[in-house]
Amino acid sequence: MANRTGTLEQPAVAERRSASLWGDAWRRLIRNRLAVVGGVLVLTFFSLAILGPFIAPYEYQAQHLPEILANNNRPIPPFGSQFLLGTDNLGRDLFSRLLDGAQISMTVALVVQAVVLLIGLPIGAAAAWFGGRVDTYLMRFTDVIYAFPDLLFIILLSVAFRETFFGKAMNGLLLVFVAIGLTAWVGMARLVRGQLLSLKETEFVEAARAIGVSDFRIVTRHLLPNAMGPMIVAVTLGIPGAILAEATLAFIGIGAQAPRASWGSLVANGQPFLRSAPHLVIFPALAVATALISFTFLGDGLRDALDPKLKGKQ
Amino acid sequence: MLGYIVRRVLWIIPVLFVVSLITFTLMHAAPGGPWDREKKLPASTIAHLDAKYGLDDPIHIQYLTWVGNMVRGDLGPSYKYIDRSVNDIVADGIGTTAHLGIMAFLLSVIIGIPLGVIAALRHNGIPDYLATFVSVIGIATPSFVAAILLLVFFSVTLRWFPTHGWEGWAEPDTMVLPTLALSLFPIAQIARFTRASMLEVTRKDYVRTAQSKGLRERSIVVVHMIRNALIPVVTILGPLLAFLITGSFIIETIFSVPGIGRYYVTSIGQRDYGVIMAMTMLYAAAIAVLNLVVDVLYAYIDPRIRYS
Repeated sequence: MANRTGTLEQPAVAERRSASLWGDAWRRLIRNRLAVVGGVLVLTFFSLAILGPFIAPYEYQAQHLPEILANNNRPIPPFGSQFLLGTDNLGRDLFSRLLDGAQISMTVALVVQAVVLLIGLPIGAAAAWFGGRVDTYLMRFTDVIYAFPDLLFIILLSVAFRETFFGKAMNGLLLVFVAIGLTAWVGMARLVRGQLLSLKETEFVEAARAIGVSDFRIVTRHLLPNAMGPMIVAVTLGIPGAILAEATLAFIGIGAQAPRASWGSLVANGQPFLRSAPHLVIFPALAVATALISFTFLGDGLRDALDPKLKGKQ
Repeated sequence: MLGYIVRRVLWIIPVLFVVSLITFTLMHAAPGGPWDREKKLPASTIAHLDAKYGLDDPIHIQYLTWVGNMVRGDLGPSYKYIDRSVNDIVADGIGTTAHLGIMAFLLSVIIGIPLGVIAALRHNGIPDYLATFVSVIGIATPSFVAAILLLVFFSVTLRWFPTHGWEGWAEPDTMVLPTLALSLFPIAQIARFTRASMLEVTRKDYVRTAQSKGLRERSIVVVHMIRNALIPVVTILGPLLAFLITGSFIIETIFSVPGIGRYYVTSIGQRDYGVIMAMTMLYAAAIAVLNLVVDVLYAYIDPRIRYS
């Protein structure tokens, strides 16, 4: 084939190929309806989180006492007043509070996955690259972290460092987010290790070594970019877990403190009114559910689009 | 193989040691202590209590004492429930927790695997969409939401099941809601995993060979597809079982199940050091042992895998 096409066309062929790796993935992704729905919802959640303070009709912690008094001190139901989704028993606008919850959940998504990458990536890469004893010890270390009960470990960490400077950042939220990340990086480390182990044996790595490229450069310029696809998938699919962990912690009263409104604490606060004012549980529960589904659909779509093993399977 | 198992079992010891060391350090680094009360106890009382329980010893002595006692099977005293030892607390709750966990595990496997298999066999058909719908519900519903909704709908409104308590087989209706709430997520997880694994197997050459030599569809599915597709599914069952039998704080609290899962959160608030350590060790040991079991099973069901 190359013999017949001659020298002039070769650069053009090479260029089309290199552009098509991510291009193909993108085309496969946007053809997947669920993934597109998930992606659009994810973007919506992030926009709501960023723009929340500007589009919220009220301050999330503001109590509208005259209105709540006029309603006999009961939560105002949704869709029938100036409060779109109603209020809680203290007269706080539920929609504005949900927007604050979106901000917390999306921050969790980013912070936890940043911690996961910052720890999991170097550990997995080092284990794969150096192999031997380094590999054994690093993987045993991940076993140790894996063996901690997540909930207990996160609470213990957040209690132990509560009084430090770090523990007070972002009203104590940052500490909880990082604690969640500290329990979640093991999967990433194992994934990176597995990916690099198989890439390490490829010919282009051997070639790079032969011309004297440094170890660090081989790992960062040749191995990691090739392992990018599965890592993107793992990060996306790890986000629902992080959001769920934060909501669960907030539900039992750890992390987001009043008056901040995590979706988990909104459910907990609404629980006593479940029969008289079900909207206080249903809307935050729907918010969590939608966020979890969106990231899962997007992650599944990314996996189908990026995983070469599954190519052409649709 | 035997050498492999022995080595893995021996590895569990350092893992548990490091887990206990980190937990012990963090626990004692946390401000406050087991004698904190709304109304402050007099300093002399606290000093007396500390001396009685050895809490005034240097931290490394306390750790070594704890290790020494634990190795002999004594988990120490509880500081919250003054007349009970941690052994009593664990012994009282572990049966209930394990019972609930195993029920939820079996339910997840019994529903999750067929759901995934059927979805894959009818890929992009109605059964697939139904199964996907069920697993999406399972993934999207946090356990605390599922538990609350089940409780309100089936116990409070319909009055089908009791709102709290756990009587085991003596009153089976007390087991329904906690088991359902606990297994919702695992069902979804297993179904998704099984479906993906089945779809992968469908493309394999040996399945095509079986089809082209005219084997009955039934035997292709059972012998060639399901058996191979379940191999990766087994790997997630180990950690899942460890997670389920060590108890869920949320489920046990919402349904007032008298297990040990309730202590995951309360023991830290109360600085009940012995209980915190016991809970951590229990979970870590369950994870380590069940992962080992899975790895060994893995080699047993997949003859291609050989450990050395």
